[in-house]
Amino acid sequence: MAFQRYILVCGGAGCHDNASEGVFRGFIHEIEAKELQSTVQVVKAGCFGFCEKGPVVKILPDEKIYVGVGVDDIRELVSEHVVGGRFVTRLLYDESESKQHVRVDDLDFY
Amino acid sequence: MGRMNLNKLRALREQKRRELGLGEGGNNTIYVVVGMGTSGIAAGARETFATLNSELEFHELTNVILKQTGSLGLDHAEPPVEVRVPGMPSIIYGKVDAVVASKIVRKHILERTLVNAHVFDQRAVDIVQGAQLSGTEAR
Repeated sequence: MAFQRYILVCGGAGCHDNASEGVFRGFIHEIEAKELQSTVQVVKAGCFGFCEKGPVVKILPDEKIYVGVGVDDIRELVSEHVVGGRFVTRLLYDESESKQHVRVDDLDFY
Repeated sequence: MGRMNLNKLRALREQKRRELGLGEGGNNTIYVVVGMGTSGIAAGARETFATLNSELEFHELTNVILKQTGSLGLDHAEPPVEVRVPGMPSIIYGKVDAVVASKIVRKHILERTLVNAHVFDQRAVDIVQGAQLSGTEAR
């Protein structure tokens, strides 16, 4: 019987320095406290490439990336996303923060 | 073989898919893909592939297709192995040596649990799509 959800906590060097180990243990503790260990697996993952925004947490199969996750956010993420199926938007990665690269074709100059 | 109409061609395709275990009845097929670009091979992908092969034979797993492919782009985590199990999200493992390879077969394929500390997942699909749509880089 496969798990229904997987919580991937980044264990890369950058996130580790941002205390992702505590987040990893916190998720395990919270999942066990809510007796969800048969349906949710907490996994330590490799670098996601968002080191600046760490600790990074990805929840599968919803494919949602949460950035800057602290120990204080764990209870909300589990109760809202994992149990309730509602995304915690304040922690989701915001695409609009990325730098805009304009292609030459789009420039009015040419 | 003479001219073949479209219906016969579709029937032939379905027959061949069934023979390969890929047809409608072959939904239980598990794919294990080893990234064997030059950097993967240099990091020991051949040993990884051989270990996976022997573990699959040892556990008599006939519904698993083991394949090799080119570089998966995870040069910081070579050799990489992608595992696609029906009913589970597609997972890419990194730094897969012989020990981790046997763990992948025993834990991921047989027990349906992810192998800790070796998941090197890609960026989320929505971010990649968003980046392609807006013509920006995701980071």
